[in-house]
Amino acid sequence: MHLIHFCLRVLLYDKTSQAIAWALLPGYALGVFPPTSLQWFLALFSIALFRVNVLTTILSALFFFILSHWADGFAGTLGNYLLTQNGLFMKIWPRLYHAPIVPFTLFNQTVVMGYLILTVAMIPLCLSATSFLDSYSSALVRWAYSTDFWQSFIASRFYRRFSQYLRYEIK
Amino acid sequence: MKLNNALRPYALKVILGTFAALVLYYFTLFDANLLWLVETVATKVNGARIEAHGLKTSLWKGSFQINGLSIANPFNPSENIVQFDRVNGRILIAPLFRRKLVVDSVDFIGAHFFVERQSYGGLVAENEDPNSIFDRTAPGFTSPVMANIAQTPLRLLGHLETSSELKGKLSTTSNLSTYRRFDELSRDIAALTKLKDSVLSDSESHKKLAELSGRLERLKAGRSPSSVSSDSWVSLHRDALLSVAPLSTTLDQVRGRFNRIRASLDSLDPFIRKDVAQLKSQMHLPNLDGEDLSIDLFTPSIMHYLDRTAYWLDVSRRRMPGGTPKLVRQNKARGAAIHFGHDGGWPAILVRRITFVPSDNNASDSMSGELTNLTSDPSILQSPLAMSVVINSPHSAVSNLKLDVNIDHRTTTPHETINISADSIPVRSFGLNESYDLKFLLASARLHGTSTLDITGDSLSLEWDSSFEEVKYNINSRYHQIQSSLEDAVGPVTNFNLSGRAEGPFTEIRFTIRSELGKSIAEKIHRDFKHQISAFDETLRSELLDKVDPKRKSLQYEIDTLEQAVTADFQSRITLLKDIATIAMARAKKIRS
Repeated sequence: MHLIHFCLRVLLYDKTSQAIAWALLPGYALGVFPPTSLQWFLALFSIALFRVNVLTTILSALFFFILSHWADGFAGTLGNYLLTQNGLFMKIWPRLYHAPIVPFTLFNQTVVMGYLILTVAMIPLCLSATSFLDSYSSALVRWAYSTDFWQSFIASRFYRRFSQYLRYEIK
Repeated sequence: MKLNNALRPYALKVILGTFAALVLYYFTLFDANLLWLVETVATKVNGARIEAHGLKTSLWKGSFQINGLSIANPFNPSENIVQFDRVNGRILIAPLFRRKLVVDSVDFIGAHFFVERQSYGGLVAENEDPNSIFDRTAPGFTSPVMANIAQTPLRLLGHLETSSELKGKLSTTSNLSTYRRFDELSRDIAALTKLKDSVLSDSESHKKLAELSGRLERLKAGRSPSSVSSDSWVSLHRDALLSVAPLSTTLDQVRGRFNRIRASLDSLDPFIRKDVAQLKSQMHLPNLDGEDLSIDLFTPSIMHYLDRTAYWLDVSRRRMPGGTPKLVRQNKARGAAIHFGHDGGWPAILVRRITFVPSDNNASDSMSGELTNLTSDPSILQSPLAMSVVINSPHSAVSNLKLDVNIDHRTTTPHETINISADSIPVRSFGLNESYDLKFLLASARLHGTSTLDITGDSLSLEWDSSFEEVKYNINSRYHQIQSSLEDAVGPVTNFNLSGRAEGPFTEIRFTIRSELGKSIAEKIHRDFKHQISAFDETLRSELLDKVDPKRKSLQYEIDTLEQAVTADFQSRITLLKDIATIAMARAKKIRS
């Protein structure tokens, strides 16, 4: 029971709007990049280092992992274009490929390169999620608490059993 | 948000703790776990146990040492195919920070071949994948050729002995050309039956006959003969004769068609000959006319080895793709990896040199030679893979086995060369024919000779010149005649030369093979089985005739009945008309006189 309590605390401890919104970024990295890449490990360390909502990270990692099955094709095409087109990049890639540390990002793989580019799109998403949660989180929580699903959930024996561990966390 | 607020409390301690745990792990458990991992992966690849007494790594020196490496024989797991006293290796540390694995050297020291194991080395007992490293094929690479060589005379020889199959084939085969001919003739008869019905019920013809009969009756019924002019009788006579002519013509035509059908039924020989040929081809009877059966004997085994070589060829081409010195593309499960060439840069993976060093304790077995430039990006390294190894193992009867391999993937058109030569290597269970009817193996022999395999792109050229000595055969057939015939053929052939050539694209390989064994067997089975093939033809023909005869007789009966009916009807009408003409002529003459 204490172990479950500890896990729930870890999952739900950081629930500020920034902690929830920026949790999407490591979730994205864990979901789409291969576990052998540097950015995957950085994402893992960032969860340990920074106050991000762990539950949001896990859920977004699952979401992006499932999404990657459909998005791999697009990311691969985008990465392939950037990695093989003759131009400025063709002078940069060989230097990066033989530079220290950088090759551990696996940027030379077409799919990874595609997702690296798409990471840029994640930053505005995190920023807008922060302001969205700042503005609407209270209303959102009120709405969620008023739904039939939540009402039937809090009336369940399961919730009553575990609410003692959650009473300081969910208000 | 301030940084203090953004950081988790004790986060750095957790990270430092993790790092300390990793360091502790390296100094305590890493070597043992790495050895377990290497053994597990290598065993899966080999299809039989690969084990070592110990593994020691030094991270700072970048070196490793494996003691007592033993590789079990996947085909005979109670022995090791080879075992090494120790393996020393050195990895360059600096390229690791650039994610490049550069193994500077690996020394395999003290090889021993075919040493008996103390424990069972197979995997099947533990329900693991028993697919051996030496028994993997490249699906689709050579399958069209394999399909073509499936029907060799030796495989088919047993069909001559199976008379039950002949009857079975005849009873199930309906697509015979004789039957198709019968169907055509039946359709002709049906058409003639319709024609008969239409001719017999021809209203014009009957009207004409009735009209002429009426005229005859009217003329006869005249009050006195003088009241009827002779012209009327002459006119009746002429009309009657005119009506006979078309009936006779139609009758001749119909008879002609009947005769043609009858002639067709009497001359079915070409169709029966065609059917015999068709049935023979369906039954895959052997062609025994060849003077040398070497191609049929040795092609399946050679293709077996080529098929396995094709697997490794496919692996090497996927793992070592060709490209340009600046860019190499390697397809992966998720997209592709692009490898970039750069002055002074390393390929992603490079094993500079693997050296095989003979044992230093005067052991009888020895393996010497080296392999250089094993890399994932040969076009970036701009050096081909080269391997040259010599193996001697007196207790295994292996003498001076030389293996030279050159894999050049520096350009987009890959080129591989494999040369093998030996003064003596033992041969165990070399299959020449394995079918339901006949199992024919070289049970044991000593082989010496040379072979050269040269592959450029999809086209290969294989040449070999070898000798088998002290050959012992293993022949098992369901049929006594085949067994005794082959035993007689191979009895005197204890030594023979085998030379040949295979060339062309992988999917259309053409073979030229010569051997005394192939000639001896071809001559013997031609002598022993040729008359049987002729007798088989005759049996097939008579069986077929017996089968088609009732149908022929039934059709002949139909024709006869039909002709009889048509002829009788026509004859009666013609006779009637002729009688009218005769009477009319007689009356006309009487009036005139």
